[in-house]
Amino acid sequence: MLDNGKITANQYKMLVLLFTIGSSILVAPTALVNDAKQDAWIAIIFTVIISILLVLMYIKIYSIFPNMTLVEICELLLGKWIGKFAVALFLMYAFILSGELLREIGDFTTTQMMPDTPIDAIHIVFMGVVVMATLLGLEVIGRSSEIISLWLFILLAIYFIAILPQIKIGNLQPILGEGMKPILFGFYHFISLPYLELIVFLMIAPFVNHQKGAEKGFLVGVIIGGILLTFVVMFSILVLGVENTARQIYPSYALARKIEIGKFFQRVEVIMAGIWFLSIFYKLTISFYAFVLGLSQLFKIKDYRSITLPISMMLIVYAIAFHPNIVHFFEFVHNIWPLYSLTIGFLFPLILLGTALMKKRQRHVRGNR
Amino acid sequence: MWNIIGILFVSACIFIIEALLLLKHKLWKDFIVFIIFLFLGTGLSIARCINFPIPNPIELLTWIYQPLSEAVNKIFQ
Repeated sequence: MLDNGKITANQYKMLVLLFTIGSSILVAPTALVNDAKQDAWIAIIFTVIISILLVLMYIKIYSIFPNMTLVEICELLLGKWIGKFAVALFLMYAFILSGELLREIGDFTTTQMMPDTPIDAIHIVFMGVVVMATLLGLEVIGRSSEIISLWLFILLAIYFIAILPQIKIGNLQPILGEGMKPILFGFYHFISLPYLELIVFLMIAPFVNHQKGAEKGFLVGVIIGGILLTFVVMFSILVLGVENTARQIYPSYALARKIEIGKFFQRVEVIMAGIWFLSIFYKLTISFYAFVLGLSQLFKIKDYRSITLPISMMLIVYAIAFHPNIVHFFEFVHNIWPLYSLTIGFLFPLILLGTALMKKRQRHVRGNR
Repeated sequence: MWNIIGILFVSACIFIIEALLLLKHKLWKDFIVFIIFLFLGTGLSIARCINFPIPNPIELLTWIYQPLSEAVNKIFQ
């Protein structure tokens, strides 16, 4: 095992929370409202409940192999060659996820905040911070997440309270006007965006110093994240309305522009940008860390730190090369990403869990003879 | 031209930072893997600078999942 340090259960919980809301907090309302119209809030509550079942499956895998990362579990259960192939598929997922997240940061910054800056410059600067965090190791990432999440909660509280006076309850009607189908479509998109990506946490779960705490932290982090996302989607519908939300690329950012208290406390959309930058930084760091660590375990090398810098060069290139423009990016996220996520985030762990339980039973039968 | 020189300079810096440490500890396997990825990273960066086409996994995924995605969209609409 590589020397990666240990994190506490509380730090793990905060990382799960930041990962869940990272990136989704800004873009989730548009996708959901496009699918489910004013029933988006039902769709999101439904998704959060189902996501608990999904996380229970991840926790089950973790509790069978509490000291192994996903890569090691794979090679143990599926044999050397099939195992390595499965690991390569998973690592490709982690790499594409990191690239998409980096691109999202670049797109947001160049369209909303710094229109004259080339997108590469933003990618390189942001990636510099992520590489620094990765080189410092998991312990530093975990400890900083505890400090950052306090600020995150303060900013979110300001955001939610300040938007309250703008609410119009009428925007929610009619409830269930178009039946269940749109809600299921919203569920299909929303479970793939933050929840199925949580599989990368199986790469860092073994570094939590307390097994029971890690299991509980995983579940609690996902539930709190789900509640926060539910609030954001609900406020988007209640304040902006269905039509307006569906037209925005970054609805939560547009929502923050609406904040106005007594002609004095206004133009505070940068609060939302701050929340989003903090949370997406952790999401990108965790998926990048999982990728680099997985790669070093695939090649069985001593330390992941030596390959971090070359990989970051590749990631900066691919963040641009993945998509020629933002429309292609949204088409991909809308049509292909849910299916790809379902394959890696649901089917793949299901196969692993099935194999693990079967092997356990075989050993049990053999032991009885 | 200048951006290629810049990329080579960055790669050289990364090489000096990491490779010397690996060689000092005689981690040969780590060194080989590191060199392979450094070449890949440098090559891809230069390919992007001169607009040389690079393999894109997104196109592969789109090709695999496109029929399924169309079927799913048809069910929901």
